[in-house]
Amino acid sequence: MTQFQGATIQKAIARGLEELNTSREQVSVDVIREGRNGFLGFGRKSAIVDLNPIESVQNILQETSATEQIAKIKDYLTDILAVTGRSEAVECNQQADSLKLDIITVDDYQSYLIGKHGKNINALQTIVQEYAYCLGFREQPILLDTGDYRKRRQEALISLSTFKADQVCATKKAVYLDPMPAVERKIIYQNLQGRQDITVRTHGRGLDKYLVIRPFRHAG
Amino acid sequence: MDSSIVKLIKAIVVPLADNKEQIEITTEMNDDCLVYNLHVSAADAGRIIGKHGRVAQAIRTVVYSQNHNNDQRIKLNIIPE
Repeated sequence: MTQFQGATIQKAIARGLEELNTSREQVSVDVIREGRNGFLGFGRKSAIVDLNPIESVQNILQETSATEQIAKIKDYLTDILAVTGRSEAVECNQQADSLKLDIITVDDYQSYLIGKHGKNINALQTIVQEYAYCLGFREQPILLDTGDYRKRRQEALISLSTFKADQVCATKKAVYLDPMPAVERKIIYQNLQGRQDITVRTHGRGLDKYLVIRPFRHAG
Repeated sequence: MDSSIVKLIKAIVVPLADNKEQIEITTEMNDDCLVYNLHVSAADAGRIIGKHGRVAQAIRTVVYSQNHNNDQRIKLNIIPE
């Protein structure tokens, strides 16, 4: 038994962690007794907690190094792609802010892989992110890309939003854009943020959020 | 003999699950579509379905996109045991 005392539960845990020389994620905490302040110091009781190291699968997974995790993520994606019958190669590219996985494939298959407005590749990205989360790879977001798709999409969104914004100014009527994921909405927001003649708002709930561009006089 | 769709579902789902041996895929014919019933343990269901069905929807999108048989639609049900 590894029990520790402290004025509050938090303090007891902190003291225990210090003595055991571990971090909060690596132990399970059982509260034996909650602390009590009492009245004017009478009846004060210190909190007692019991700390036990966790020896679960999670812990083992956390210990596998980031490089192993990346290799596993890469294998996972390669396996999924292999079932579809095309032998695509996956190239890992670790960057400061994200882990980029680039799928290399033949040109005529690329459009199937991407889907309409990136529907398929975004779905695949969600699945791979979920897998990475299971592995305990949580430091960086994972982005899937194939043949510069993300860059092309960004350019397309920028020109689309500029065009729509001009249209709103000319007609003084609001324009509703198609639902798109947060990343793409962000690109449009950033593109239009400097403009004083229009306002951009997000409408909708859940996964189907869409942007509305309005002329400025309707803002409110 | 697994069809390519079953293989694809397995390739996606098996690494995500903890209770890998409990995963079972059955197929049945419905009016005009082929239904894949994916049985997973209740413990894994949360991960495979995700928050607001985000992961489940992603799996469906990927699986449906690989259905090259234009005469027959397919469906994927996720059933926690």
